[in-house]
Amino acid sequence: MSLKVYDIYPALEKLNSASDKAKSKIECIECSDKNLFIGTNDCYVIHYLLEEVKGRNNRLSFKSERHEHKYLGLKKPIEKLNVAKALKRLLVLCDESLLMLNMLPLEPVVGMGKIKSVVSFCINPNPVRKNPFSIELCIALKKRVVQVYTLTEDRVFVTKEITTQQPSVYISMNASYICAALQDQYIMMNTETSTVQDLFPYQNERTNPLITLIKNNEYLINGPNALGVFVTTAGMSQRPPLQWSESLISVVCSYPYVLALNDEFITIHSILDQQQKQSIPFQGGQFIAEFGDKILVSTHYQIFALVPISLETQVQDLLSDRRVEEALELTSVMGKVQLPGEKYHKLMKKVLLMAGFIEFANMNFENSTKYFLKSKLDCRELIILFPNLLPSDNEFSRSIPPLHEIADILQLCKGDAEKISLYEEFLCKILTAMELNDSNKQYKMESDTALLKVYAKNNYEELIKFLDNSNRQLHDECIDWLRNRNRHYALGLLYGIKNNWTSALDIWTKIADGELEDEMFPGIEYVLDCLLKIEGDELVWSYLEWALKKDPISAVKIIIQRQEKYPQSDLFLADSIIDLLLPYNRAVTTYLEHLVFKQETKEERYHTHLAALYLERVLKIRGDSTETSTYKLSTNTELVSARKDFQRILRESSLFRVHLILGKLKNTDMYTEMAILYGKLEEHERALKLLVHKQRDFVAAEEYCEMYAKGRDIESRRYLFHSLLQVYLDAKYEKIDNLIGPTISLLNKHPAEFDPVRVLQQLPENLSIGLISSFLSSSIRRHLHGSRTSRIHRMLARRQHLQVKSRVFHEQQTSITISDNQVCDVCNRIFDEPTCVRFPNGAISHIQCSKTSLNPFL
Amino acid sequence: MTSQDVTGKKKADLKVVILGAANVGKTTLIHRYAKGVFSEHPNTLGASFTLKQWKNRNVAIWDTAGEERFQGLSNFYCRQAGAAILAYDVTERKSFEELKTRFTQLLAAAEPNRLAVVVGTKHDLVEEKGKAVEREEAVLLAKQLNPNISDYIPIFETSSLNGLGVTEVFETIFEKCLRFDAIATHLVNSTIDLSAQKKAGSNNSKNNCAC
Repeated sequence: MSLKVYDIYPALEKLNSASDKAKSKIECIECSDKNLFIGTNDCYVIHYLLEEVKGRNNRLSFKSERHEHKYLGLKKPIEKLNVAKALKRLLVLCDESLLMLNMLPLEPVVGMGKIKSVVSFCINPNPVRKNPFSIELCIALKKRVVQVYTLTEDRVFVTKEITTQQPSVYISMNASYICAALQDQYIMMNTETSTVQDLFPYQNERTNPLITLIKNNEYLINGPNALGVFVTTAGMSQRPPLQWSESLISVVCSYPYVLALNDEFITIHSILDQQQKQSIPFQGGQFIAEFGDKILVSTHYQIFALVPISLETQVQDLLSDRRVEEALELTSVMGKVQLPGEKYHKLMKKVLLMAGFIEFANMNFENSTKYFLKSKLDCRELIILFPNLLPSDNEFSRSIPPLHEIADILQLCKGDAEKISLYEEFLCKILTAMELNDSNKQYKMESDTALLKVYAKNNYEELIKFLDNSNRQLHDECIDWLRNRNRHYALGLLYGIKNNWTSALDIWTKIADGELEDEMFPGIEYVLDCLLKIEGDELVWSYLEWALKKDPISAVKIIIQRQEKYPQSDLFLADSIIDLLLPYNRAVTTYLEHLVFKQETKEERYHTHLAALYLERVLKIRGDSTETSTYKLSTNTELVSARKDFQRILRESSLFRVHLILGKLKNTDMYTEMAILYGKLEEHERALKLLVHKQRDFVAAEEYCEMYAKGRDIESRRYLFHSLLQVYLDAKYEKIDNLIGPTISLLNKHPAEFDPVRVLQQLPENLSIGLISSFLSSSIRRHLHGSRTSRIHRMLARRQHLQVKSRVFHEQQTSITISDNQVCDVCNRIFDEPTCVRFPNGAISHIQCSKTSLNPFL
Repeated sequence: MTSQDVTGKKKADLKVVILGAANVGKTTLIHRYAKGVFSEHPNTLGASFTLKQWKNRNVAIWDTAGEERFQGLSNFYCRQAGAAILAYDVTERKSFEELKTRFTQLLAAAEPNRLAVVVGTKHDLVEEKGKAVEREEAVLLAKQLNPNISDYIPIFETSSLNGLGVTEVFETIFEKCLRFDAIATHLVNSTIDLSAQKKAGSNNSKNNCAC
């Protein structure tokens, strides 16, 4: 994966030779703060001040200012420079000698000799013994010895010496470990234990031994075959090797990147994934060194600065190349390493957003959704791309710097309607998804409004589903939007959500009346349902008449259910409702039925009204029917059910005005009903006559008797049944013979209800005894039984009488004595006459005392 | 970009290294195991590295370069390996010989009681090219390399092309090297539990005494 990690800038355009004779070449460089020290091939150390200058447009440039120089007089090139910051000194390796210079000004330190036969040296950046005024120095000598020195202001002394198998050619020390390159082998030395561990061999002639400290316990070594091998102080490797190019000259690490210089390129690898990130062509590279968070790299005459490109810029570059995945991965891997938590999350969010918009522009909706949801996108950012979807008074403006270059959807789709609708579909999906995971709470109004607008345009069914949620927050603009698109039903729903039921009902009733058209309108039932649910009685009341016109029965149901739901409501008083319902017979009937049967009202007028209504209906059906034959009429189911209803109220209610109804019935042949009414008036004979002679319904007559006999005493029962018998046997109306059948059956069925003597007197002389034998035998049986029972009663009574007599006798045997000293048990005074009262418990009192309320024995 | 660093930072519970002559299919074998597919790879330079999770344990599988020029590095990458896979090509006699001459000696750098699994690769080519190394020879080598093991012989003949024996190689290694470990940690844990309980108990008794 190629990436731009560093930018290269010229830092020192041209090295001014220190001496006029020969042209100095840069051999090595070293930096400390703004101080740049250059070691030349002709043994000069030159001091520059190097400063970053930020020009216009944040353009970076470097300003170098030459300060002074020092000739060391050895006529050899300077191999290495190191700043010992704590001591403000510069260590110089030249001609196998290690010299010490004061940094400012560049003068040799007085009293400090040089160390000779030095092949390589380094300063321990993390010495174990921490004395801020000393530094630890590690030196590889020409002999097979590595020495550790402690260097203070005025002293330098050896603290450790380790002998190696071969002379070291390159060393690097950190903490107590020294990693060294011998002539054909890398080794790791522990200065605490003086142990030496072989790492791996290399070929000196092919590989330039280089050791770079990566982290506290990890080095990167220029291994065989141009491999950058990671080695821990334990002599292990924890990362796969880097693949470098041949003939490296210099390596520097600036976590998490490693910059390696050879004579043609600077290659930059990431330590984290061991991949090469960038390769900068660079001819004649000589030396590479850290300079704060930047890197300096020199040729013989020039110095360049490598400035790390901020992660933001790197990511931005990737995004502008549409390399979304890579940008995200870079952010997540490097961001975690380089940025503090909050900054990382901010960047991640931004990258996700930009990635989302890139995928969005490519119609890669799946990824786009993923990124948008993850980034917790402010939905307005997306909605604003769709013209007119954001409410016009919304003050949202796109975030700056822009997250994308999309002007709007029209521009993006170049007007392609199909594409636009795909985008709109996507918008709906993502807004719904955001709603589900609650990331859009803050902008629910904008989101809901946009959804409504899109659905209204494209998908009416979805719109209805969408509006079936009273938590929607919708801008008032939606009203016009829906109206202009003839989404009348939805508009009503919208009004409903906004609790404007007046308008909602207004629209719906108009649709129901056909004034407005809307295919999705579910019908009148829906409006009725609403009338049931919504609050506000006046509103419902004002639409009741409309509802009655449309569907009286449902309207009445609404009234009833509302009454049950809001019992306190005073708008729905029975009388006013009945007044309202009057034009609608069925409706008023239903309502009265509810009052009478369900609520069991005690108001006579409702009962009478209902009965009258029933009667009216029966009469109307009969009047409408052209059939006159009774049989045909009895098969008219409508009539049957109407009469049943009528009979029901006659039977069950006892509150209606019987005479009124009866008067209305007088001229009809509705004998059953009339019989019931006579029954109500206790005029049983008339009722029975009607049933028997007019109706000729003997079963009904018998049932009538049974019904009224229920729970009465024997006399009343006999009266009823004898009345029926009388009716049967009454020769005034018709021949007795015609009614013999029902008479016999009545007698045989209810023998107990008759007085057999009276029956026998009433029955015609010529009646066959066989027909009534069942009646007779059962009567005889019962009478015999009665007679026997009476005898037993008599004997039992006699016994009781005797017992009482015996007790009286016994009682009379006992005597009481009244003496002068005897005291009344009630008043505690003595008796002054012999008359007294004796109580069953033996107490004795004056006669008058026995009657007082004070008497405790009564 | 892979995120090996994140995982690399975790201390691996087991280091497995694969050794063998060039072109016997070491990288392909690992790739077959880790990704479940066959793929051809260019010569590995130096080494590469795969991290694998096995029952909550981290296993680092180091792939080494077979070419002779990397010999020194291979030795280095063998360090502290708990298990080594010694791979040879069953159709290439030379690869088996090289295993014996060049690679078995690298095992010296690994852990002293490391497991050495002998693995023959490219078994799918036997029909076409004929078998150059008999199983018995490999068995013999496996026995020699693992003198402490008596209950089984760590030798497998595999094919990364059709997946023959690949999973078994790695599962056997993990099973043998990590299971014992697992038991050991379990034992340690249970000991801690008991003593912790005891401690709690003694605390209680102390509290009681105070009153």
